[in-house]
Amino acid sequence: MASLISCPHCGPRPKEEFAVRGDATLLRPAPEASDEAWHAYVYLRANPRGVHVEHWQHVGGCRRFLVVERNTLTHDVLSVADAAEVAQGGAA
Amino acid sequence: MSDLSSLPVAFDWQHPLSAILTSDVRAVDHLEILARPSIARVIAAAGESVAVAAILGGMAGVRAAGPQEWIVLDDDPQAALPARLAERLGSLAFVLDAGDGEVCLRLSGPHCRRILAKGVGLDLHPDVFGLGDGGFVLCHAIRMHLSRTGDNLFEILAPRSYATSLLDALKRMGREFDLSVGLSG
Repeated sequence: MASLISCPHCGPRPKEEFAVRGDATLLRPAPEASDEAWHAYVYLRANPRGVHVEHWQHVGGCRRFLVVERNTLTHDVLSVADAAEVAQGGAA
Repeated sequence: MSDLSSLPVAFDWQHPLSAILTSDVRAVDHLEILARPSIARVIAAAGESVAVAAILGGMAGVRAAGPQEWIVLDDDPQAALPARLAERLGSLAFVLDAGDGEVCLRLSGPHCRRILAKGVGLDLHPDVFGLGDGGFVLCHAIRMHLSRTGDNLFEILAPRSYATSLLDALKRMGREFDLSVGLSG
């Protein structure tokens, strides 16, 4: 993990100010979706060697949820965006 | 049901740091504990952040505290700041009186950046952290609001429940520079 995350609101901050909140690429299934779909949503996680897209919360700063794209192999942080803006833009 | 009208309505207010030992001599690097400032926290209603920023922009003592959020401070406890702000902002924003919930400290002196660098993971160089800049930062695992209000003057706001822990951390951060601590007023 890189030692700095550039928060879009607060600027570059040490990673200790952030808390990881899990995979940001998962989409919640419909309530009537199959048990397999719910099992996959709740339990199954890919752990690729490389790029991860995750939710991180800036708990020590602005308290906003962010979508952080980072590489677990090179420790690079590739992009950081506010999760609300990502959700409105329909990206991620 | 108990009769609530028998409860006392006037409480004895006490500063959370009133019992600490203050320095006998004021050093060049000094940490001032404000007696009881008037503090208001402002959060803009959805979509109104530009309008709120425009109104607050013309006022004194306004500190940025994140997206759509501000802290307004007045040294005078009688300023009735939250009430005045709530009246002025109306439905544009939510205003919270934080005067009893937060303590305000002012760190001044030529070594203030080196003192803060022992606890804050932030670039405090004057060219990067300019006059009036501010935001929430983590200092020794305590979330506090830090703002630069002068050339060598920083203002710290923290929840009163963390005041003694934060003061202890700041004293240790400033020990190398003989940081003095004193109550204002």
